[in-house]
Amino acid sequence: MTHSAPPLLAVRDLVVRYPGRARRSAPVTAVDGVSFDVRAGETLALVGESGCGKTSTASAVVGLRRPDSGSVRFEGSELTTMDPARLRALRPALQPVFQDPYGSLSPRLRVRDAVAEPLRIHGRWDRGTGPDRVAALLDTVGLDASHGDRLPHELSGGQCQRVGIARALACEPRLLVLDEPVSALDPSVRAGVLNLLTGLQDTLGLGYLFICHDLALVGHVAHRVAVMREGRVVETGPARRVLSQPSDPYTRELVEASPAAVGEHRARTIPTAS
Amino acid sequence: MNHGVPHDGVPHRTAPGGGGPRSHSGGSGTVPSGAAPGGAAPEDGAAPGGPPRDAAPGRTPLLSVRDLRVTLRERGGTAVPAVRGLSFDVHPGEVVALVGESGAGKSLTARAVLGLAPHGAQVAGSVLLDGQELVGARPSVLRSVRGRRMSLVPQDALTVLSPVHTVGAQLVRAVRSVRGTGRARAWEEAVAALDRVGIPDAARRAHAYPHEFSGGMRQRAVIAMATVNRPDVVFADEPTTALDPVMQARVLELLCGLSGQTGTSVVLVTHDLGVVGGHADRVVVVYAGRHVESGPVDRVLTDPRAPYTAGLLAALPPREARDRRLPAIAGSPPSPTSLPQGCAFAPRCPLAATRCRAHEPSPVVAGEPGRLVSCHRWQDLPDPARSLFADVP
Repeated sequence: MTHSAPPLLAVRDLVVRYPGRARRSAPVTAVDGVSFDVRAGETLALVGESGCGKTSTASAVVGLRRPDSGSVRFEGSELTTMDPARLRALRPALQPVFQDPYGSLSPRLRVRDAVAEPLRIHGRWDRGTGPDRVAALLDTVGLDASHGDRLPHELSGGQCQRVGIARALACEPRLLVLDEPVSALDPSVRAGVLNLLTGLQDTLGLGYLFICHDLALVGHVAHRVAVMREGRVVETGPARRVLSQPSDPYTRELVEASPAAVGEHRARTIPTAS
Repeated sequence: MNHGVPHDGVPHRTAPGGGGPRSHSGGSGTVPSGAAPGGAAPEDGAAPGGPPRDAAPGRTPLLSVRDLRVTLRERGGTAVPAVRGLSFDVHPGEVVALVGESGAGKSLTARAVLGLAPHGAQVAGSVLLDGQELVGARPSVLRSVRGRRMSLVPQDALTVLSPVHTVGAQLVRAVRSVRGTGRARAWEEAVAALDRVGIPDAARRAHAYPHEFSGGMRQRAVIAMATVNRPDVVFADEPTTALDPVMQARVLELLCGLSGQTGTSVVLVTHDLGVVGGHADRVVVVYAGRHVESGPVDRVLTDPRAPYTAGLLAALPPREARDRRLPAIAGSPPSPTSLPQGCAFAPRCPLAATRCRAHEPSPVVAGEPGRLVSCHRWQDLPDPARSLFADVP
């Protein structure tokens, strides 16, 4: 990471409010003045308990929800005030990957068409080279060309999530916003998808905004961490430092609550059959 | 939290066809590979064709599940073998973790033990609670057991509370339906149960409706409901999946603390091997409806004997990141409708040999008492076992 380069994504004083449930009740401030940067080739993990505003932040960043105030700058351009046409042109560069692998794919679209869809939408579909591009994308995410004929219900959760990643990669993004991309996956396939993500980052230099509540995972994949609580960022810093010496009491509580990393006592110490 | 030492002394009751000596030497060649269940009858004869005991020896299990099979019927009439011969014991006051991935049959196991298998499911095998057979028991027998002696914290604990009754009223109903206590007495019990699970100001909070509770408090209320009649065994089905990490830790501590306080045994059904350490006494790892490995938690987590367990452990991210890549298991779990021949894990297993693809392994004693493994090649596991799994992209 070069700190001199301007960040890929710069979020400043982001505020997202939802209308209160009852007619006269005050709006709920889900995100309350959040600021952070994501650089190219870097993973920033956004952690915190459920309801702390992580997903609201993510939707504001990818433009699925207009923030009530604050600024989201992507490669220097302000997204919150950008006119829709320019925003549409920029969108391929900034792609979301969602938590629910099945829910984010159309049940009627074959994998091949699901991966081709973003190319078609952004006018990048070429009848000659398109199919090869789709095959290459499937290969990139570790799926066979034969998976292209399948429908989502014929795939496992991990495979669906790989399709979701292939869709996000189709238009050559520079930033992926990953909202709990592995928490719905089975433990035995989780590591494979994570390795895919870190591998892609290394080869393509993508920036990741990685939303996650599993701190053990964060320590593994993230370069930096921003800890959120009740809509605010309470602590930011390099992942190792934040997880090993949390300065904020809430971060400390989170770290202590995360299941003891089994890996730390994995050594084979007991005499066994020999 | 370990109640007693799980692997102390000479087992009074161990594996079939061997007994003590082999358990200690644990040498190669003494284990009948691929031994059919019932190769030798267990000494107590309680389990027909029973696989070896997996528990701390010398104690009578409170709950003994033997060769449990649950077969579901799909709409087309095809049989789906979801649980395929699972055996485990639960001892008084013990916390047993039943670990498996989605579709491994762990929730179904919990439900079948309680006599709550879905309509149309076939349940075979044996479930003995204090010697009483529950498989095939009459509904009245099951009703007398459920809630009173065994209870369930269901998976979607946040939605099982009725939105139109107060939390206290729902607890009172649980007390009265099982014990027929008077209203006032039942209300006291309800408040005491809420207090036990750490709901602050329980006497006042009992009058609240579930929507006035936070997610963590609702989860606690459901645990209170499952434990209000002081059952002998509580099945907690993924009690923490919907909760954030801070709440997760508290709920687990609460559940496992109950076993210390009231002597209740807890069966913790979970997919996360990470939460098991530090909370459970013993762990039973399940894959595709079959036993994979079981034993004392600290032993299984530090020194897995089955490749599947080793892979799950290897894939848990270490807190101190050394390398950003994690060892991963290739492929994904099989669907119960299209199980591979032989060991269900063989297609994903780096150690799989011809016999793994031909014959399904049965549990055998793995080197030390109280540890069972269902793997033909457990003795060929490298050291450390995680080195089996390279990082698969």
